[in-house]
Amino acid sequence: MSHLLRATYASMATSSIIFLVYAFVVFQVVGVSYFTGPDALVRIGKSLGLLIIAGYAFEWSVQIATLAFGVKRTGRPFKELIVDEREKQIVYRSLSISLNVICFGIVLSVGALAMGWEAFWVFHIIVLFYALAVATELLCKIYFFRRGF
Amino acid sequence: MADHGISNSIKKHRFNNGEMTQKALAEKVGVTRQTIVAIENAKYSPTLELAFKIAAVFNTNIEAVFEHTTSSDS
Repeated sequence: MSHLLRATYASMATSSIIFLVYAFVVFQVVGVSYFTGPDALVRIGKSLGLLIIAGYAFEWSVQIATLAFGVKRTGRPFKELIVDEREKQIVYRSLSISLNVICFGIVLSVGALAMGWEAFWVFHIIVLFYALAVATELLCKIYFFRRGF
Repeated sequence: MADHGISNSIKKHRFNNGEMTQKALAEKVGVTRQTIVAIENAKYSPTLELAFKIAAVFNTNIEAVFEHTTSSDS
């Protein structure tokens, strides 16, 4: 298994954990009512900021651990772990497809804003579609890896 | 409608070069074995640079390894 495919599987696990923990904390622990009132935007901003910072920290920790595992397992130095031209094209094509998903989410959130939805739901449409975009990207990568390209 | 594709004879060249493995070829040209598999099965068309590198491994020119095919089904 190539390093990039291993990293993709690791990303699937970390992304699932990150978004599930976020959804559990926001909807079960603190509740939607916490994000209403005059401080709503500040609280939404803090929760999304925490999601972004903690999410990326967790993701990068796991990716570094995956890389270290790859180096140890193959016995080859870090620079020799190949990400070749086909793998780069798979990454670019997957990102290109997932970009459409997040853009669609942004359009929907603007529509929700225009219809007078609460800020909490407007921002969480973007979060939902970001999660869907990540899932799309990872699934596309796995599909292209398995198909050849 | 014309269908363009790149066919190749990497498998034949590997066999003729001391039954070189896909892994050995991949290491020589600096890609993963999966990429060699994808190229051999015509699932992926390599860049010109990689095509030249593969041809160089077999000490031949690029036309001997890769062929551009055009088939018409109107």
